[in-house]
Amino acid sequence: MTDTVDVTGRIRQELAVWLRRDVVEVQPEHALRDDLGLDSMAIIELLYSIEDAFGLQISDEDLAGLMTVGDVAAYVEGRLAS
Amino acid sequence: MAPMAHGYERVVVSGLGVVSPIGIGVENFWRAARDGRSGIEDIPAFAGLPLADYRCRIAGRVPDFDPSRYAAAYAGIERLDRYAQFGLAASTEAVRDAGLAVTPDNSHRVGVMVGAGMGGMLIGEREFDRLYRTLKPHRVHPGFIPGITLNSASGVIAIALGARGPNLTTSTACSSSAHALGQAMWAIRTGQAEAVVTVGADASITPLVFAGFGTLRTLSTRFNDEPQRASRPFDQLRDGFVMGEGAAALVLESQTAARRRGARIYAEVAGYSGVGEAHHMVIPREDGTEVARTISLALADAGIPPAAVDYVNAHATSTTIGDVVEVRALRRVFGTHADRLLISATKSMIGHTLGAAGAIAGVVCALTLETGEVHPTINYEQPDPECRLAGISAAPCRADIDVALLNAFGFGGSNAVVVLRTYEG
Repeated sequence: MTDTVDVTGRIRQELAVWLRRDVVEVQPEHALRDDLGLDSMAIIELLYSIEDAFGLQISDEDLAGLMTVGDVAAYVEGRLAS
Repeated sequence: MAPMAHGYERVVVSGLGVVSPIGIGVENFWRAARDGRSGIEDIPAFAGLPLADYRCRIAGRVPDFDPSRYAAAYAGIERLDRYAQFGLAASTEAVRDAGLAVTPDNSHRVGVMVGAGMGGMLIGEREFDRLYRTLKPHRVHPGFIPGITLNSASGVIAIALGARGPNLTTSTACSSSAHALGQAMWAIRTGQAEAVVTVGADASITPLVFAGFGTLRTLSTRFNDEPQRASRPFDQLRDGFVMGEGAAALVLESQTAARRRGARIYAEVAGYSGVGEAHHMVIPREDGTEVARTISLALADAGIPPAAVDYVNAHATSTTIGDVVEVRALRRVFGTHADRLLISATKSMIGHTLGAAGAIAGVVCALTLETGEVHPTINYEQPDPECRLAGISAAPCRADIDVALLNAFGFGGSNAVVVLRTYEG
C-alpha cells in the first residue's frame, strides 16, 4: 500500500519534471494553474500520467475539483484507500 | 538575366536549415552530400516485431537527434512527434541563418508553411497499439490528437517563432514540401506575407508505414546486406526506393524585406507549378507528358526558357518506373539540351524522405546555386539505357549554375516543380 508521503512526493516529482523545476519549488498548496502556470492541456496531460502511475481513472466530475497539488494528492490517496 | 516581368513581389531565399540522415545542420549535410556519403543503414528491431519478415530492412534514419537541444525554442519538444521535432529543429536553424527577427511589429507578416506526407505516425502507431493492447480507451494519451493532426508541425513552429502570418500545411505525399515552397512563394508574391518559414518534414520509418510501403512493393529489397548501395537512382540495378526521414526549412522572403534588412540572399525562387495527373494513385503517366507539363509550366511562370536551365535536382527515388518517366519528361521538355543539364539525385544518399523531400531539394538547389558545387548521385554505376542522361554522375563537379529546378512527384498524381535562380538585384 502506498503511504501518504509517497503519493504527495510522487505527484510533486511528476510536476517538477514536467515544469523543469526543482521539486522544492512544487508545494502542496500551489494551484496548478495560477501558481505553477499549467494550462488546461498541461493539467490534462499531468492527470493522465498520474492515472498511469497509480492505476486510476479520474472522472470528468472529479477533475473539476483538482485545483492544487494537495487536492490531487488527497484525491489519489482517497481513491487508493477506498 | 532580366527579373520577372509579371509585376509581383520577387521572392528570395534568406535562410536554410536541415535535419538529414547524413547530417544535422546545413554545414554537416552539405559536406556529406558533396562527399557522396550514404546515410542508409540496417534498421534496428521494431518494438519486438520480427524484422526478418520485412522484405526491406534498411532505411535512412537521422542518427543522434537530440530534441532536448531545441527545448529553448519549444519547451514541450520531447512530447512532439519526431517529424515535428525535425521540423522545429530545421526551422530554428533557418531563421537563425536568415537573421530574421520576429517581433510584435512584423509577426503577422511572417507565415509558416509545412509540407508533411505522413505527419505524426510515431505517435499515431504508439497510441493505436496502446488502445488495442490495453482495450482501455482512457489510456490513449491526451497528446495523441494534437500530435497526429497533420498541421501539428506548422502549429508548433509558429508558436516557437511567434509567427502569426498565414499558417498552412500541405500534404501531397512526396511532393508535399515542394508545394509548400510554391504556396509560400505565392503568398509573398501577392503580399499576404513578407516572409514564410517553409518546411518539409516526415519521420515515418515506423512498423506500420514501413510494412505498408513494403507490401506496396515500392521498397528496395536487393541490397539488404549492402544498405549503402540500395538507393541507386537511374542505375540499372535499382529495384525500389529506400525510406528516409528528416526535415528542411527555407526562409522565403520578399526581395523588398530582405534587402531592407540587408539579408544574405542565397537565391531567388523564380517559378512554381503544380499539376494533378488525374491518372493513377501511385503510378505516373508513363509517357512523361504530365511531368513534362509540370516542368514547362514552372519555367513559364519563371519566364525562363528551357535552354537556360543548368541544374536539376531530380525526384529520382530509385524506383524502376519513376526514374524512367522523369527522364522521358526531361527529354520532352529540354530536347537536346537535356544532355547538357547537370542532374543529381539527393535520395541516392539519404533515401526518400517523403514529405521532406521537396524542401531538402530546395536547400540543395540554393546551395548549388550559391557554391557552384553539384553533389554526386551515388551508386550510379551501370547507367540504365532507358533513363540515361549525360549530366548524371557518381562524381561531384563544379560549374556555373544560374538556374536550378527541383522536381517532386507525390502519390495521388500530385506533381510540383520549383525553379530557383541566382539572385540578381
